[in-house]
Amino acid sequence: MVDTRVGQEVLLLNPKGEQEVKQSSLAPRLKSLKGTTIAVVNAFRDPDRSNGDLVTRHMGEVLLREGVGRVIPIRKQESAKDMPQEMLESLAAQAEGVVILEGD
Amino acid sequence: MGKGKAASGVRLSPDVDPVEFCYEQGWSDGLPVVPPTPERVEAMLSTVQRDPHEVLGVFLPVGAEVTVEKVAINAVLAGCRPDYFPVVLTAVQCMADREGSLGGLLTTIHGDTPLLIINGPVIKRLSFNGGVNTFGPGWRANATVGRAIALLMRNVSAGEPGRFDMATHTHPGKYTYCIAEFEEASPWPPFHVERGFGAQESTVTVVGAHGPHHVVDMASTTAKGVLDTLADTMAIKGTYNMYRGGEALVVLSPTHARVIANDGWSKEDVKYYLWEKARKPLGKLRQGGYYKIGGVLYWPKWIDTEDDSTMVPVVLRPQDVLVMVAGGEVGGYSSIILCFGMPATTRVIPEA
Repeated sequence: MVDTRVGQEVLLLNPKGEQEVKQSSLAPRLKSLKGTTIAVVNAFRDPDRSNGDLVTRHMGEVLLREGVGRVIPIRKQESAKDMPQEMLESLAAQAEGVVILEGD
Repeated sequence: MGKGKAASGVRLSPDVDPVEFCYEQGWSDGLPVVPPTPERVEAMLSTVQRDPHEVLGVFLPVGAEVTVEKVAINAVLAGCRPDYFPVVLTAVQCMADREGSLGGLLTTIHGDTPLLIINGPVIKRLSFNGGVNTFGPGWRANATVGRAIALLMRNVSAGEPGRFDMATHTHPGKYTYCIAEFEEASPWPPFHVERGFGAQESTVTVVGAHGPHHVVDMASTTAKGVLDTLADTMAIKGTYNMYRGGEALVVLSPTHARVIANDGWSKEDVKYYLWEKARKPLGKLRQGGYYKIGGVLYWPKWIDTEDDSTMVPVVLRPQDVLVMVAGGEVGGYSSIILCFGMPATTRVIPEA
């Protein structure tokens, strides 16, 4: 057993979770919202997303006022987990931009 | 789940106090910890036949891999003896089984935390306490195994309070929360046997739990009398359970268990009676608590939500009343622990 008194060198192992952080860049910014298709993701934590639906609807209205051509409202089923790959692919195929709404 | 990375290490110069260093790194719960040297971690790992880098789960919200080695490091920090490690590891596996619930439990403003219940021969072998001063201090196994889980959650999953762990109020069980059943004092089969395990198997059960609410009944001499007092304590408006179900753990003292069993009541009878009696009228529940938060009622169809006189049960099924025996041999006290956020999960602790 290593003596851990002050006065001698000691090695300690890190108890913290260690993650590999992947570097990625931001998606290219849209030059204009005019005529674009934007997905609005309800990722709220409220139990059935009903309050999140209100904010999602409001956000859609704001985007349409700003010239967006089409808004796609989407519910993320598990707010704490990554979005499923198929949902990501579907969004990438349909929308030119995504707004994610989070809250508790 | 595959293999994770080896834990990183940090070499301290002779003028650095390792315990103070652990504080500075945020590795502690506020109490002194045992510095996790490779030798101490190796001693933990030597008690199990597991690859140190085996990934047990990815605990949210941080999303870091929980390896066998990370569990061992936190067990050292907590002050566990190496022979406690299989118990800690099994408890972590129970939590991994409930990975979907765990992130919510650890981050919610609600404040529940995992409670460990130990059963079987391991209780005597490692000197877990299920007797006098249940829930209290004085037993290294209870104190450090529970603390290992709490430190692991802090270090690998939820992070420092206020970062991811956002509990408005929690309870002291977030330092350590581990009890054992007083199997010899129980008039019924042990808790783990009722859950389908062998009497000679050792198990750990993990459940997301409030703090214990002590219940005194020194007056009752019948099963119904004791259980009516317990039911009255269980059905309270200021809890998620009244609105969303969950489980209720009833920790009967040996005295109360004897009174109930002497009337010929089985554990099954206890569960049905408490489910039937621990209720509150809908009219009262409408007045506050968690009523219609987010515009939602979680009650099943068979609960008539149109009638204020409907008696709503604190748990939705008799089997959601969990019954065990623990505590000092004398005293008309039991405890109710309302459980929410992570359902009870039991696993066998492998023999070393």
